[in-house]
Amino acid sequence: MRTRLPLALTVGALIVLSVTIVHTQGRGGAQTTPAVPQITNRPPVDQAAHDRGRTLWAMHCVTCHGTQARGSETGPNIIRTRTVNFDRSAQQAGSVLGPYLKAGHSTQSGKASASFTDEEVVALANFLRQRVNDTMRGSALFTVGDIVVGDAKAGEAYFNGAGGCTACHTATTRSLAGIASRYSPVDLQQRMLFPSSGRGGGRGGAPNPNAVTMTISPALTGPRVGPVTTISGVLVEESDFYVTVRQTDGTIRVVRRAPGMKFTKTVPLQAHIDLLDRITDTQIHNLVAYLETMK
Amino acid sequence: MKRLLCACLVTVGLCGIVFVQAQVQAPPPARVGLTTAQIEKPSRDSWPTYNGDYSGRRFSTLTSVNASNVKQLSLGWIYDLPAGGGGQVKGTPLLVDGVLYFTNPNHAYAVEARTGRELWHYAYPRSRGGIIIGNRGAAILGDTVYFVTTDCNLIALDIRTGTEKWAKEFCSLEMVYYGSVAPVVVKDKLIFGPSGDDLDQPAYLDARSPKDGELVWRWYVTPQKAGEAGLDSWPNLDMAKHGGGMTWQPITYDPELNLIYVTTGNPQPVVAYKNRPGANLFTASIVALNADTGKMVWYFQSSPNDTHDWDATQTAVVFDGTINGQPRKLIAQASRNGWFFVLDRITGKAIVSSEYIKTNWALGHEDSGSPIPNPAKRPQIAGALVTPNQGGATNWYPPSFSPQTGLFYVNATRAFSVWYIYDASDNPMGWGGTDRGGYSEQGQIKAIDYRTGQIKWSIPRYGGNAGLLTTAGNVLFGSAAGGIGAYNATTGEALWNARLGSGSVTNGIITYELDGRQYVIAAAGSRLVAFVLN
Repeated sequence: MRTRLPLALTVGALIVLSVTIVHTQGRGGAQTTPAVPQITNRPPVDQAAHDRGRTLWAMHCVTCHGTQARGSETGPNIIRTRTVNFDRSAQQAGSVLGPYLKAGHSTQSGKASASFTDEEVVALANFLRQRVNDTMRGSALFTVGDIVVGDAKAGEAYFNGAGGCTACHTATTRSLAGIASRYSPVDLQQRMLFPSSGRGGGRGGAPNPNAVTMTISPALTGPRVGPVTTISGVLVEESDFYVTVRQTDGTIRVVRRAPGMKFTKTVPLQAHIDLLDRITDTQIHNLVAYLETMK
Repeated sequence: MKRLLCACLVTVGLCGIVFVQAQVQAPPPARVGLTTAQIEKPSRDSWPTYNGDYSGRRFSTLTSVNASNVKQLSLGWIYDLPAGGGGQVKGTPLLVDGVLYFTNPNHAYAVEARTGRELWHYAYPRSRGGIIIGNRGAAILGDTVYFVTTDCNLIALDIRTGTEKWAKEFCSLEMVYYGSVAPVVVKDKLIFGPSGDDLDQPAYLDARSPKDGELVWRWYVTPQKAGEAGLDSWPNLDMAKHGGGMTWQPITYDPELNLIYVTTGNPQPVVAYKNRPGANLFTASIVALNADTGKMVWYFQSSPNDTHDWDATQTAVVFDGTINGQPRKLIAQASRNGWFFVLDRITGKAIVSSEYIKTNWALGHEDSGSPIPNPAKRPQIAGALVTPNQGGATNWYPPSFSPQTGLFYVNATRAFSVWYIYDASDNPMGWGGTDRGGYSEQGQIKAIDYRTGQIKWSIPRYGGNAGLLTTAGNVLFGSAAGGIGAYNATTGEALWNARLGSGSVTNGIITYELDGRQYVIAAAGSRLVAFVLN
């Protein structure tokens, strides 16, 4: 904490001190700030120490606190305790847990907790760090489970029937043959529901067949361009007053909205979007199961 | 101040010294700082608290800029934050005595409101960490500016110089809380709470002393002791004690009723819900507290047993209206879950409960007005397709209410995503699930009739998510493509756009009048821009 200015300071000293403050707080001041040790949501874990800690945990702790330190019928969940989390946040693993254990804590093995060596405390602290880290957003443990739970036959029927998928996807057009070999089940599910229209295709880039296009008719343009009745292209931006498109030759055209103009947006993937309001979760799972057969 | 400016121009190298000399030697201005009376009844030349006043309406009585002339607004000034100055501005500036005060994570700024000239910039030098995602703003009382740091400190700054007076820890970084909210002055207290929803921890709202930051009262969102109200909505006390419900947003307040309205966040564990059956009170709720004691007077739950990270911390807007011919004291919220609620703010009883976007997760609503979650649309191992997505139908960005039009304005998004359970155990902790992917329809600004919940009009919002502002000039300000836009508050007709060169508006837009001229202030990224009728 920054010390308050002593009343006895002279005005001159005040000036000097304040200049320092101005300089350190002014533009670029953030760079001059001395480094402060940082506490992160997922502090690093020493894997070797963690593994030693797991062995100790199994010998002395697991019966009460459970395999994940989330408690059992005989002991509390310690994931959210101050001791575990202050230790987790400490620069030195074990610096909070150690004194806690030294003060005495029962163990399943009967070992006196005060007798844990410093190395053992560090090992247990790293084991606990990982248990808490495992609950944090973005933990490596948090991955999608088994999502192929549907009925492939029912999915095939939906694909060929109510889903309307064959309107675009046939053996010769937008074929899905082999798609299950190219994507994981969850990616398949995601791409089926939310196929990206991608970027509009940059200048000189390959045209994107899924890009949203806009046709403006009649499009009133300035005298330099001359009268144009229709402009169309990949939609770049809409605003309250302008529509910007990239024409097939790569040029950008900006059209100011005006009464009487007709703006027709074409969304190639509209069928997928329309599905979102009518497909059920069961139908999604059936479809994924069916798509999974397309190896 | 003109002499100071001249001195700075003469020699840049001596600027800091001259500045400090001016601060030390010059007598204090006749009027510096802010009183509670000025906060309760804001003048035309001030924006003294996060929402401009206690109501959360973000409605200005100014009319110089109006629907007829808003298209003539022109640039007043631009202030670009320094590199390393906290990034994108997501907070709302305060205006006191002709100076704007605003914040970014671990930074506070004072900028002249007429010219955009920086007066001081405070960079918190001791941060130990915390999530740098945004800071909603400052509070001012007397000659002190208050804001919170990411590492859980309430900082008090001298309003003239930005010099730190003191710091007081109000939450524990070690327990994975952090600070982001704007404190609000209510009488002799600073009202605010912590942020964070990674570790399963209890949320609370604090009343603290403006003198030293000492705690006056604390209200926990979830039950912390046996026998406390709401405990029967949790499976056990242990889950309730770690049940989250963060108070992410600045409060609103009714001085006449002496009630603070706090909105609360999602329960913990966040998405994996198996070990917390029940409504999980008082998470995802609007709660009325006695301003003197912090005791709960009533609650309304916007999202019972939330499983989609849909905190209900969107501003609860206070206004008076007419329902079935009767004058009523009302409070309204467009909630992250896609529902719009109008309540009697004396009792908390619902008057309107309806969707403002089409959702697919609710089976109607209870007699109380609280939506009924569809169990089938809770996150699943194999995924459940849900709208809204995690970002919600709306989020932190402030709505607006115009007493002139009787319309409640909200930035609304209808987006789909698939929700998965990652931790399928019986005792998940933290973030044992989330959503992935998605499709978002064109964002909208929606105008809702508070008497019925019906959408009066809905217009495309081509800009990003930002705060809304309405004025007695019948203007609605919001984001637009690459900048700021103005709309007819009655009809939604687009009146004016301006590109800001740093993206569309990212914060809460404000307005004020100085020297008879009305200013409109918005931030886009790390740039603050003023518009005025020149």
